[in-house]
Amino acid sequence: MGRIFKNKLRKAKVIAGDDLVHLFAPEKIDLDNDLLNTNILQVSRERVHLAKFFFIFIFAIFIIRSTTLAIFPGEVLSEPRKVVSKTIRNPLPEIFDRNDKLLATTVKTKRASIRNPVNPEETARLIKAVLPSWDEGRLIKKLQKRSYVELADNISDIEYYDILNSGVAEVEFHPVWRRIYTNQELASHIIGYSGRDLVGLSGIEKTITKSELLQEDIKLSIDITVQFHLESEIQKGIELYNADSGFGIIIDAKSGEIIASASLPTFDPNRISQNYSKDKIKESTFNQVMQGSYELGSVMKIMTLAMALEEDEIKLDDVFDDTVCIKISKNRCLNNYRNQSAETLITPVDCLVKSSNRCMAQIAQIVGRSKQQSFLQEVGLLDEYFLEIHETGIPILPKKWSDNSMITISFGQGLSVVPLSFASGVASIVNGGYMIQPTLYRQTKNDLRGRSIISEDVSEKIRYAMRQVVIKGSGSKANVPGYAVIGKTGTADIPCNGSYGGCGNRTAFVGAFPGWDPQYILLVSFERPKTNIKEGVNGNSSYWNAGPAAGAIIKLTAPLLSVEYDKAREIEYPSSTKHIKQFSRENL
Amino acid sequence: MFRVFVYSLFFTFISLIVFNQIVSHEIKNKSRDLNGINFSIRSEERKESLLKTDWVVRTSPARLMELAEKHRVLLKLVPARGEDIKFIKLKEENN
Repeated sequence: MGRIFKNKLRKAKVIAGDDLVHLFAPEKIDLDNDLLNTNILQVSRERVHLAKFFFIFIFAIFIIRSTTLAIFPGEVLSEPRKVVSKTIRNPLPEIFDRNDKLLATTVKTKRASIRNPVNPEETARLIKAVLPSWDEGRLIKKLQKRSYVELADNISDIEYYDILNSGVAEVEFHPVWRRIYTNQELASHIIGYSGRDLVGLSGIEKTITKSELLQEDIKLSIDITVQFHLESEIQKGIELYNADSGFGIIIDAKSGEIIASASLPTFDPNRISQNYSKDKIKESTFNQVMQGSYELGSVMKIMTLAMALEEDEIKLDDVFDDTVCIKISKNRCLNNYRNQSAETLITPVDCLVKSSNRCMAQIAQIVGRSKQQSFLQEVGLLDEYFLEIHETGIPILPKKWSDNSMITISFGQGLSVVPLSFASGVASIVNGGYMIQPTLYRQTKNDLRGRSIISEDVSEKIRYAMRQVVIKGSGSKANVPGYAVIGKTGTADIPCNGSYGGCGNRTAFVGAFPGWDPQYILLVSFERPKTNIKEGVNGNSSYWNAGPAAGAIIKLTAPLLSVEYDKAREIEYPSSTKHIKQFSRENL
Repeated sequence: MFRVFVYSLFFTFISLIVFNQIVSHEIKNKSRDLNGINFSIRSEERKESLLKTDWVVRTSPARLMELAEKHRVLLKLVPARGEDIKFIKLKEENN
């Protein structure tokens, strides 16, 4: 075996150029030629060796390098690609309510489309079988006209497999993101909506897009359950009183968080960009609470009374003459609302309870118009306000703050205010007199009261007066036992053609609960409510609609907001000085 | 001597090539597995987000209210009252 192997090895030991020896070196040795020949052989052999070494060297480099790479891949590959986190990341953040309930999210779905069908009729027939919402004739027309037809957005997995199995070869699938608003109509004015390309078009969605808040999830101050009760009660109210529209808002009196805000009619953000007509979009996306600006009527009397008490111009025991004639034009005296019968002498609390226009006009006259203006400015009713969404409104001020406008503003006409700023103004008055800043984001602190506007004494007096309105005045239908609800109703004629009267009215109720230490402010308002004698609604003033609606809302939402319940507790008459002034015709 | 060196080098290189092939094959297999796992994670996450959304839709206040209205008589459901909250609070204090 060894021999054979050796022979073979010897046989194999043929060096390049060996065969050439026989050619170039004959048996006879020619000295001259031999020298030349051996030189040529030598040179060629060396060249072959050189080439061999060269190839071995290159080969060695490749092999060694690839081996080291195979063993230590970390040297060249810096980091393995992180596929998961990048692609799963939502293009828009999720929105949560204050109890971490999901309000808006983004899910990945598929879009099915057809490109260049060979046989449109056959394709349409097959597609109709799996997507029954398509009209076959229309689909055929579309397929014949265009080379690319979108079949359906957001198809489900079942539909996806159905389409795959249908036998249509030209169908294509593209992954698409879809924004889902889990609560449909609820809080849609605040959350807003986004178009098909995930660009926010209103509400918080617009804020997200504009300020590029794409990283962190958003926590709103909204409580979706309270929002549901607020919206459903106002919807019930609109149906019961046959009103044109209505709105309501609940804000935290100490932190300024907006707990719920309803503006009806409303819209479904899931469907608005596809199914709504332009007019309907314009009508339903208008946020009355934050964009609107209305004359809210007698609820403004709270401001007038607070201002007079704060300026120390009147005291709770003072007495006013309700029959005095306050001239608003040459031969016209100011009437009380719907010419209610006037009593001769009433205290400021009774002025609020009876909602006397004349009495409030007198108080405003005592305080003066510059102080009135600066007070309303301080409360925040005359300025634009800041909120986290782009849909904000501005108040409409009288062109000239004359004596007449001073009188009308004292009982709530001639000055249109944004409901949200009015609610926060009332909150600032009843919460002990500290300014609050309304916000839509959840705050970490419970108490965010700012600088003091009015003293705590005055705040207490206002609370007492507002409690009397609910006990024996026009707000009695808003009373909910156990919460000592405080509040004030307001009914204002809606101006039309430059004058008041004949165009229906706007009713409002502003309240707070619990009365002894208000935690939440509620503002409810209806536009043009009507009487409904069948259901026991015998009038169209706020006593008949805004009051009971507010009562129902408080009854439902106060337990949800875990408001302190105390049936025995009542608001005491605040102690006051004993010097009683009597304002009569002579004083004015 | 030189030839022995050349042959041994040759054999080493061949074996290294084989080794490289085995390793790269292994890497390919593993990365395919990893891709598969990543893909399934992604699809599971997608499903999870869909289920989560579905759950939120199913527990939305409007739907719960509808269900409560439907079974109000059977389950003797009443709206929460202020008294109830007080009762729970007192119980917590006692504990």
